[in-house]
Amino acid sequence: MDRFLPAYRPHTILDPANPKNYNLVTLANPRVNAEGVLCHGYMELRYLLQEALQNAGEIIVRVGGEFGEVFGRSYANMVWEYRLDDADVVVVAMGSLAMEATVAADMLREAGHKVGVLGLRVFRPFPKADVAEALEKRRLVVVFDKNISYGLEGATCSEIKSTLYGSSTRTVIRNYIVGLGGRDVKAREMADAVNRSLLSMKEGDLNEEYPEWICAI
Amino acid sequence: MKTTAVNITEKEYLLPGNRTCPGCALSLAYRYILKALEGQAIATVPASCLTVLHGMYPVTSVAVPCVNTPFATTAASATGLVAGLKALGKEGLTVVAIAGDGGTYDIGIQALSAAAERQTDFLYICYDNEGYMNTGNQRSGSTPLGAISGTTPILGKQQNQKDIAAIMEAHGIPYVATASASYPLDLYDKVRKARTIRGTRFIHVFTPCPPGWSFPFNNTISIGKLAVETGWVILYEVEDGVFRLTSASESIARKGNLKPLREYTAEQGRFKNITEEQINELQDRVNARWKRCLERAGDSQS
Repeated sequence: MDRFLPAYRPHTILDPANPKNYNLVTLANPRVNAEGVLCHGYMELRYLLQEALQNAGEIIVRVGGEFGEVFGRSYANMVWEYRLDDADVVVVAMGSLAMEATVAADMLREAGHKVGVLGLRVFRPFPKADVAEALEKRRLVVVFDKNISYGLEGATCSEIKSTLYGSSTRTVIRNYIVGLGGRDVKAREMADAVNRSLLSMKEGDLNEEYPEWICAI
Repeated sequence: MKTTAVNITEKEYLLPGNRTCPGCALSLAYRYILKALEGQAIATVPASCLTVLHGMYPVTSVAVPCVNTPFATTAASATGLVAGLKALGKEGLTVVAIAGDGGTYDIGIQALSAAAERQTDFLYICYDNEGYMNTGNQRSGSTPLGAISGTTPILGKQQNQKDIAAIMEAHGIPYVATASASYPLDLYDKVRKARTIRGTRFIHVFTPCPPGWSFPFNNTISIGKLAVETGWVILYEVEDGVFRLTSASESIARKGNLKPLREYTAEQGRFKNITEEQINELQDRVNARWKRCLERAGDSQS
């Protein structure tokens, strides 16, 4: 681990010989400090956070690769793929849900469907380019969400739709809400959901208004 | 050696030009607290008038390192600072958590109680202006019965305040004291003493608030003195369980009597709608508390 991590550099130093006030109230507008230098206001600080996250993607990929060189497990990408090359149906999910989806994809493949999985490793910065490249020109995208943004749909689904805005292909997107509160999600349920999505596809029916819940209601 | 105006340190850690209101008792109390700590301290402060005093980015009026922390977490933040100093092997610094009555009586009490139970080695100072003053004078667990506040604007508060020093004393910590901005040398001595004690130490500092309590800015000191003279505030310390009255409260106990509480409430606009019944209830509470303190002081001496 010492070989991989840089030396620890504390970023907050509390020293009576050089007293500083940390985490203090920051006003909306820029203000001048004791040396007469104009310092950021709240909005400039928010911009810096946005800028940092915009630039984080490159670093995540690079450090993920360096980690792989030391430990043999590479994370040099923002998304991971499973049986995606010839897939016309792609299941999208995050975390353990995406792992479960690979089992569902195998089941569906055995039944003759060309199904692959796109697993999202990073949510912010959202890997727009990777997702667009992986999902464009597919017939159907099925997004599983272990969350619900009340009144709309699962959060991952919204991101996927946003990413495909402006895409030249008209991909059908379906969204399923699963596993809330830690409820078990079975590969069979996911495979069934993909089957239902395939059956429900109609010409021009790109999106359903609300997601379908895999629960007893 | 007893501290006097002559031998107190001249060095200032609270710099001129802070953002407190005119006549702010906290500003005065904090000045003496920092003098007593001689800059050998790390402060942690939640949302409070003290945040306002400390200043807003990118300037500060306080020459002591400070971590501003969320409202409920003052004592938890202090616990982390104590652990950090220990891990670094740094000695001689006092971790001082300073919060208002809202941040102590109400929002911060869980973290404070837990830190005291763990015997965390820090000094907690609660400055008490009896309400959430910098956000609009909302009532707190320390607002007195009958006092008008931002959230009890017509009838005044219908409940009595908590006795926070008694609550902290019940934790069995090695040092509990009460103080007032109107008696800065007594406060100074108590902070100095608290610095030398290991474990959780608690000091309650009474800080009258001119805009919140509706009295003229130039009456801050006299209001604070009236509070002690009427027994609304009793200056004492409890060191390893031994109770001792101090400063003006000790003199009043020795010679003289408490003034009627009415003399104190009459000076403040916040009590303009207090009922006869409420003021009698407050007076009864003061009398009972004063009697208890006299008994305890007597017990300690015998």
